[in-house]
Amino acid sequence: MNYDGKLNRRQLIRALGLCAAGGASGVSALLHQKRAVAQQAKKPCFLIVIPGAGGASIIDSLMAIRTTESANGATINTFPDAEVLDVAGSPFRAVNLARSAAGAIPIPFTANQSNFINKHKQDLMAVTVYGTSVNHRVAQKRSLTGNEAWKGRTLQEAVANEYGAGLPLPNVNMAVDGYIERGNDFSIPGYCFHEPVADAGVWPLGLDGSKGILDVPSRALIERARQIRNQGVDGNSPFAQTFERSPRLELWKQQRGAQSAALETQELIKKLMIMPNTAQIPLTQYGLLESPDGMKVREKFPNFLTDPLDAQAALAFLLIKNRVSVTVTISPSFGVLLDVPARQLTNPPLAFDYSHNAHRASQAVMWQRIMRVADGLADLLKGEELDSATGESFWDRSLIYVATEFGRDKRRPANADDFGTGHHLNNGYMLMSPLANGNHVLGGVDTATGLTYGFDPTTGAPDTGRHMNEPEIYGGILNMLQVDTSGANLPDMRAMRKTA
Amino acid sequence: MAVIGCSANTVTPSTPDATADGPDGSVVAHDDAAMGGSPDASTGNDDAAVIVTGPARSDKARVHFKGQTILASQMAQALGLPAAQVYQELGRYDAFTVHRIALGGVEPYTLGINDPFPDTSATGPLAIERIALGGCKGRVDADLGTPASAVIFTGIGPDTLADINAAEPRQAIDKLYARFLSRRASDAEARVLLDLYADVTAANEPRPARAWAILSCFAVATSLEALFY
Amino acid sequence: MTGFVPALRAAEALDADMDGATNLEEITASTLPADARSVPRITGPCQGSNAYYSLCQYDRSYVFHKLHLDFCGRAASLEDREAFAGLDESGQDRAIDAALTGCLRTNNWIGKDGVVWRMAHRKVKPLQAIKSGDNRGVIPLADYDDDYNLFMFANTGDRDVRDLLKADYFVRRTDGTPTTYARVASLGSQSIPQMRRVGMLTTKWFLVYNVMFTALPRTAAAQAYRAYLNLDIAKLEGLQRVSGEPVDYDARGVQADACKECHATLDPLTYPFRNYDGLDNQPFGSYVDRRIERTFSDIAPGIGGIPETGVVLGQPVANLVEWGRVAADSDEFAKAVVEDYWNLLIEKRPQGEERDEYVTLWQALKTTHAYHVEDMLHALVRTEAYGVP
Repeated sequence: MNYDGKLNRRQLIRALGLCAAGGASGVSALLHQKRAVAQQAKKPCFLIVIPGAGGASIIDSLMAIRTTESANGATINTFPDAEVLDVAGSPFRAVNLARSAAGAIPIPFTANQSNFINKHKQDLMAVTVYGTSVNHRVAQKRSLTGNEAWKGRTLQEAVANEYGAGLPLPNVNMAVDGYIERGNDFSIPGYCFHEPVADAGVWPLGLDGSKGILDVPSRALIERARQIRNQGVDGNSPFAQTFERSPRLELWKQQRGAQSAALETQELIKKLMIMPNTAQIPLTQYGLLESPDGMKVREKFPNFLTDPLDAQAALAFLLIKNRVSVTVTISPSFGVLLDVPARQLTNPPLAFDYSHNAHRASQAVMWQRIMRVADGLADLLKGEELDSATGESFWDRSLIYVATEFGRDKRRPANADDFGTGHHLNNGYMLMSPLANGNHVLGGVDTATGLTYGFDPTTGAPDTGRHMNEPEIYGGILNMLQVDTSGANLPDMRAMRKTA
Repeated sequence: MAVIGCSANTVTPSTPDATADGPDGSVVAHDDAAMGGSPDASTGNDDAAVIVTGPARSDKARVHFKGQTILASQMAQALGLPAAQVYQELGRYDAFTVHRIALGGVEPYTLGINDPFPDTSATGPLAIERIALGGCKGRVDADLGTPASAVIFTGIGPDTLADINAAEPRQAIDKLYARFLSRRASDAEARVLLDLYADVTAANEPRPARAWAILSCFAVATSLEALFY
Repeated sequence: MTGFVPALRAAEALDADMDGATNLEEITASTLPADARSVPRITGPCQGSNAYYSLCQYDRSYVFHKLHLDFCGRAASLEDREAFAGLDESGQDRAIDAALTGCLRTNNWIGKDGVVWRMAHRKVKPLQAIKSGDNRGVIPLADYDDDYNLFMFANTGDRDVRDLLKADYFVRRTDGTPTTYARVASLGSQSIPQMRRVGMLTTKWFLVYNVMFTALPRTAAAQAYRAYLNLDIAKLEGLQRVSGEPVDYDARGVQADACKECHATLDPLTYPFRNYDGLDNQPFGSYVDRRIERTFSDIAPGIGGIPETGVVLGQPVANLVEWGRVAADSDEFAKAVVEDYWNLLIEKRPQGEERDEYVTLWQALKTTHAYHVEDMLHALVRTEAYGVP
């Protein structure tokens, strides 16, 4: 058995032989066996990236500043004292506020970060960072590649490379813009690159070649037709023969062969179906079923029909739980989600950016949204056992990284509560994981300027004389996820890992 | 022994995924045996080198995936169905829209996906198979249900074919090749699909003629030549 | 950069990835000199035959089939292909030209969300949520359809593609079979006076989305550089340091060591945008004389010193109109236009010996083809890169 988890050709032939002989679970069993061996070889860690699209400011959440504690409280991005809460037994701040309008959108909103931070403080970590681009798309990608820290591979690709061999879809990405761009390192295997998903609710329909299509020939005959196509139709095709050396054709053959077989055999069209059977989504009428975990995820993310981020989070959990993926990226979009009759603003224009308007509103609404989804994912993953021998849950080996492109301007018009901010390289990230040096703020913030400063990579001691750069945070995240980075020349960010 | 076709005196790039030349200059081809597709590339030495015959291979080997836009147009035109009705998931959602990104489409206005992803997606084959299966079923049912206005499957009853080697099945295959591939089927190519009928009858399919028609259409519509150029 | 060229020369004969090909051979062949699995393949004289494709020469039947898919969005019919096969070479050449001309008139090519329209996505960067006009978003700010229409107009027909950066007019689209585009002197959806217009760089959408609330809109300049000259400063492309720069008029700290290498190019590239407003003044996307002084004087003490003059591709320019003209007339612009179509129709980037054909194409775009994209496309489908299977 291959320790990389892949089925080789002989194994797959044997598995299909089992199927032909009536062992319908042959391939599935083989895959499970493969997975078990892979787990014994190296237990995986799971990375969930939730981009704070638009520019999530760390001083509008975990490192918020009270007006009275700043020498320039009136003209720096600070909050009324009562709106910045301490979290008991933790260095974190939490912003709790309410406003009657979100800039030009006359809809009230509230934010309560303290519940989330208090609940998850032991797993939370804030790390300061100084980015390198104020361009949304460029900076988005840099937050994932560490600004080309490891030959341009994204964090997700690095994790997929470490743990994803043999999985059906190791790296799934449901994000937007620069967060869904592929990395630039083509030395890694093709399976490390992400599988894009545009609509988490209906995407699972594409995970089987025939289920859900009524009144078609049997699966056995469809499989036979595939064989005829691959050998006979393609085998006799002058085009297919002449261009046989094409890497694109070779990739397609792999994808329609073993890779598709894995998707179908594992019944992912069912396992990943977050949608319930309804009149608008008549699953049962078409011989389909919702996921056995469908109700569970819909309860945790009840807005799955109206809020794409909820649907994405639901699917993300199922992808990890069902060992389809080791890394999933979900994201708010730059579109507006606004329900005027319900007086609900879910996503301002350009998310955290709000076209440089209404800083308070955009940050508050979006941090609330990100934290709610992170909370739901953590809860679900905590409830799923990963290793019966150790009792570890999936959460015990998961990390949520709230990537973001940059921070925001630290200044505001004197005492303004409704003000706009531009892009600013100085910022920090929120990380959430039992693998992290939890309940720590690495670095600090100068209350006079609103600018964050760095920390000692080994001890974590604050260092006002330095800023952390993108490669350092990138390396630290991979350290936490126990990814082998030897040869990558990445810094050792001991301070970011859970202390022994 | 295959002769390697190439361009004159050139230095042309190879990519890490390119099919390798065998040690004797033959082309190492992956054997698409009973498993329905080539194995994962990393299986490496498990695949024995195979000496292939047939036409010389292109050294440039540059092909394009047709992608969502062309495939939607092609499927509609080939099947003689309105584009939005080729196949609808759950009876109501245009499948080419549902599987847009999986089939190499873009969505710039809300998702910021401005360009197709450089490679085909892992779920692309299954997506196009669904559309082809559903679309072919629609065409077959229309032709068999209203023979007077049949487009592809003319003179083929829904139940049993009197003679698979009669003119009508061969004409249907010719039409499939003409409509999907813009060329004529060779006798060998037609024989491949005609022989499929034996598998259908052996499987005790209740309406073997209909099943054969759908599967033949499916096989041509999802062939490499139909999806790439 | 004085040490850079000697360093490159010293590395030419070396083999960084030890794959048997020197670094120079790899760079020439457009393979990766640091990846041992990417290696140029030395092929001998063309040999071998194929009854279906002319593997060693330009294959007219192959081109006829391919161009229908590329330009018309559908394959030629069996009947058309067989008729084509029955023609002699000169007849086939005429048929190729005729087919291409016909396809260039289809909505697949020139229609909304057609092939050319889709090329514009990464340049226009639409966002429906803030779109005005048809299919308006929740917060309508500007209509990017005006941008797409101008892009389509400049890239089709007998128009001069340099109008992407020179046009002082706008374009109105009429959907139909086929879709048509007509030049208009003004649009109610646009705010820039005619004498200040610079094609795609001064549409309301471009200014609203890229200038936004920024005093010195570096993002706008960088996007213009990237979208129309294919030079991405974020990837260190197109850097031409201007002496004495960056001045850092807006006190953003761009004189820091980590910043100045790029900003010595980017800042003077941006200065001509200084009076083009995004969202700070009404109407949005307008030209505001002394905009910096009126709107941003409190940002930094020296911010009023931002000149309207700038530098693009090493050439001083008096204002943004001149910026557009210099850029449009440059080799970089011609290369970018051809490269966009090359990427679309052939491969990601011109490789190996095909680069000669690419060079010929962009040079001809400037001369023989008088900046007419469609004429360039007729030449492109004649290249070996396109036509040899």
